[in-house]
Amino acid sequence: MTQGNAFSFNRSTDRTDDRFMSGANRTFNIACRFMFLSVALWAVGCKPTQDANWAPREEVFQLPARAQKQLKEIVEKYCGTPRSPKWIGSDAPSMEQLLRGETLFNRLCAACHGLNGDGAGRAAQYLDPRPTDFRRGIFKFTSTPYGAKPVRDDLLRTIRDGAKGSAMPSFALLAENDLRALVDYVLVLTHRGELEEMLLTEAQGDDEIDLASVPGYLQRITDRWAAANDQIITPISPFVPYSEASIKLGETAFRTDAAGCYKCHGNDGRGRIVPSVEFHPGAPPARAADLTSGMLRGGFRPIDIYRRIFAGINGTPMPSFSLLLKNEPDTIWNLVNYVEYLSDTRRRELKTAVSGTRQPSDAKANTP
Amino acid sequence: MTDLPHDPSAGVTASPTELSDRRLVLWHFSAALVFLVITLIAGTLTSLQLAGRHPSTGIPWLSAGRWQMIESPAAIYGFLANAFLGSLHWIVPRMTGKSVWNRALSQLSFWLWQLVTLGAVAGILAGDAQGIDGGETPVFIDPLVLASLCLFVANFLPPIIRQAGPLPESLWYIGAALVWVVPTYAIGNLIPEHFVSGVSAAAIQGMFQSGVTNLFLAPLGWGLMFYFVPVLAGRPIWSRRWSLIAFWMLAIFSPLAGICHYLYTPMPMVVQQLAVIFAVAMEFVLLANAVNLGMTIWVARAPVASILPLRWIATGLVLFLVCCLQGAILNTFVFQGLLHFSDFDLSHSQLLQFGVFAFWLFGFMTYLIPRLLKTAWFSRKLCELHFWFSTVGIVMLWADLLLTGILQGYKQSALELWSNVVDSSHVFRILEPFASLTFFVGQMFFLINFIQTWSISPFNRHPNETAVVATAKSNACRKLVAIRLVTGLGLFAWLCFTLALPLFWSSNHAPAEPVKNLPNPNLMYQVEDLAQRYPEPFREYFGEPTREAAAELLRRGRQIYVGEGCWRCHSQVVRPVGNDALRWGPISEAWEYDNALQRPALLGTRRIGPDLSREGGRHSNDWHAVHLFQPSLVSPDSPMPEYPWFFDGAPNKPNAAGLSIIAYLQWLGSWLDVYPYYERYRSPQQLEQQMLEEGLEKKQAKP
Repeated sequence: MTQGNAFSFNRSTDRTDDRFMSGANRTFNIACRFMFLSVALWAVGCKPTQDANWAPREEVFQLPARAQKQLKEIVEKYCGTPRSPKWIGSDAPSMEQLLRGETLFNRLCAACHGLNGDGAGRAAQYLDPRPTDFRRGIFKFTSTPYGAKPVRDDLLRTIRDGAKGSAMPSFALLAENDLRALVDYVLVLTHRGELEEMLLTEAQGDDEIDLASVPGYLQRITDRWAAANDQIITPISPFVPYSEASIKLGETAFRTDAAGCYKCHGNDGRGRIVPSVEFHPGAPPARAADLTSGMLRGGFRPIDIYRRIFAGINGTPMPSFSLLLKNEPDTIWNLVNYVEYLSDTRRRELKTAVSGTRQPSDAKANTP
Repeated sequence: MTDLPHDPSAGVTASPTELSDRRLVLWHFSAALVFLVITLIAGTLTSLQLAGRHPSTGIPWLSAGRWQMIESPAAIYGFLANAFLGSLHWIVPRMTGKSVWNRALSQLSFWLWQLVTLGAVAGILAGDAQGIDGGETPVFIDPLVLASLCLFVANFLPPIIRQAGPLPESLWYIGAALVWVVPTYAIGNLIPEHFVSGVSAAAIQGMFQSGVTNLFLAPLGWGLMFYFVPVLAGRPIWSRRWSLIAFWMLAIFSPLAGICHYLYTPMPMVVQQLAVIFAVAMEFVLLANAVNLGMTIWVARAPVASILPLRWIATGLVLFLVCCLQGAILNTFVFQGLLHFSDFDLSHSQLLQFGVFAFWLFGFMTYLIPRLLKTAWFSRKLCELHFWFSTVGIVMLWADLLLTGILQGYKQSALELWSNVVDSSHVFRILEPFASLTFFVGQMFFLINFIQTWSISPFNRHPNETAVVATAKSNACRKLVAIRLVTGLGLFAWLCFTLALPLFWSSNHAPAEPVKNLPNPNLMYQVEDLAQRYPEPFREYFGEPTREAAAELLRRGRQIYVGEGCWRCHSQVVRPVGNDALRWGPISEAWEYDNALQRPALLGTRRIGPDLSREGGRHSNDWHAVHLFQPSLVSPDSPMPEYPWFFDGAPNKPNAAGLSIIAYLQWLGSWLDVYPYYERYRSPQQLEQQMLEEGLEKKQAKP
């Protein structure tokens, strides 16, 4: 030790030091190694692995063994597996696109919609409305008539904008290409679910699947989805501009039997007068929307509202008004304007509220 | 002990050993180390949470949200302040030749301080924090903190003021820190909590956040450095003039610089620009001091590598330069646009606390402890291990956070999906606990060494030997005392004045909107929805979904938002930069914060999670319930802690806390026209225009 150092040790303690360290060194080394090893194991951890294939419906397991095996083989033959999904029908997207969709879907959607798109992900049981079960092939917010399949853009819009007021969030920040990949993958899951359902119905009747009938099923799926592209609803009359007069007419139609909206949505459009309707056995009851919430799940553009009224909402008690209002096309537009007006209710109250959050104009007024 | 190591400072004062109460210094150091361990547990738990490996299974007081808030009070008030106060008890008597004002008071203030700091930690663990960065101490603790700070000031200031002859630069800094600490803490904790709200509160909070560093820790640090560096290097300070220029610049510029934490917020632009100018001036202060001390060591040709305390100090100085550079980058508009709310901020503050101040203090302690215990260190090897583990640990942590921050900044402004932003930093998040643990292990070596040294110390066998006797040294003449008092008052007044400036500029002089006025029609929809979804708990805790119930929900919700530490990871401000507006919606304006729920203002400190000022209506109530219960249920990669204690066992059974926090979240942004279509809201008129553009035919009015 150099003389004059502020930090020096006398010899006797140095020796104790060495003795201590020989034992301590080992202990510390072992302790450190153990600590780092355990943290390393912990950090790397085990991630849950995904099953090799999408889980089939529960009913499939009640089939006789032979039919069960047949069904699974056919579904796998035509729809592939999560790692190599197959597309039923023409205009198949590239495998790369489908796999991109699979990755995104498992990361962003599967928590609610389930890995196989059955709408029963881990969070699903706590959500109301429930996440959509893609396997049934029924989508709510479409630009096609009641009962028809949606077009790709409909699904894309729902993913991008979300269904405001439900647990479905908006994925507006996803790139267009990623959104398209997601739509394609959702369609693979849907086609698979539809094929499975058809095969299941046949197997439940005959205890066996006639392989000859499969091409027919595939054709039916292809046709139905292809048909949607030609069924997009375009308004049957020019739109009535948003005006007080139009809103008044819409209100009258809404509150009388002319359209009869009040029966479910209530006179004030808040949808809380009738008890919830159980539309599908087993499904959670559907509620008529509170139109004043400012959150229209199928989109807030007038054309969206027009299509909801004209075509109804698939899988819900909201009927199509195309027949009822066939002869008074303007009424649909008046209703659209009235719904726009209703959905603006709270925004208007916000501005006129006597007390409420201070507005920018007030803040300026208060500045000296 | 006759073979006590040679003390180079022995010549400075006549009989130093009798001036200070050794036991008290040791107590302060022991307390500092205990709080350091608490801090490091907090840091490690937080980093484990972010790595997705938190051990807690829904126990409220183990929640990473709460522990994260313990980190800075435990570090600042527990570790750093205790270590500084211990050192002060050693050097102030030595430099002035007088013991502290009252020795009984020293004991009292020591115990009061430990009580207060432990109380703060316990309070935060119980879920009762205050929403001020650096001042998370619960509201009920604040007066106690102030009281004990006053005791310290009363104890240390008299010997400094009455010191005969010119004041050494060391005592300038220490004296100033003692003058500033009480008003800084009082203004920073009391005004934003009780008197002003919104943007004005945010201005005060920003100044407090940097005030704790620039007006309390830094002057104490410089004061001690100006004592220890010449002592260790064996040579007087390189330039006394520089240190005094730096002192006056610090005194003039540092208070306002703190608003640099809130560039691009709705604060008046003039305040922001002034803050940047002041912050740049501050950089010169810091550089001047660092160069001055560095040159002292350089000119003395002191063997930095072999004198361990000097090595600590020199390493601390190098890290300090890095820290300054980082601060300079952060405090400019250009870089803050990209890096604000990212981990870049955190890497700066962590380096400052654990790489700079802590390193200096470890240097002081490594030097002082053998002298206090009258024996050499038990093991030099452990001292070396302490140094190397600490250095490697803090540099790893710093680099890790720095890279994470840059990555976050880029990904956020590139409008990546939030889960991508989180995902991209995952590698760094895994590394973080390793860095924390390395540092932690280093401190364990120190602790063991300290305990062993104490156990072999002769001091241990005769603890009552330390009778403190003040050497009779002449007092300063009355004129000098008067000048010092006036200077002190001047520093005090200038601090209060500069702190009041932004208050004047950023306040609209209107009383904050009370909570009962805050429920708006949009929020009422969500409250009614809650009452409909969860009828039993809602009726039990809040009755009918009225405006009064909504106000109660908001009040409680905000308490939870603060108490659970939500504000530490979620900001509440949409800036005009970094593509914030495209991601979240309209840019925040000052009037949005003029209400009782923004007292203190919750602009936030980091964006580990997304900004929440436009969260209302973005997700539904059931989504929020599931997400709060267990975030991974709806977003698998989320590093957010779970809050099962907001629920009675399942996500569809929220209790009062769950209902309140959901209502509070739905309130954020609900006051805007564009709610809940923040990104693409169109008025009916705009919609009509859009329809025409899409080629729809418009019905012509009948002639």
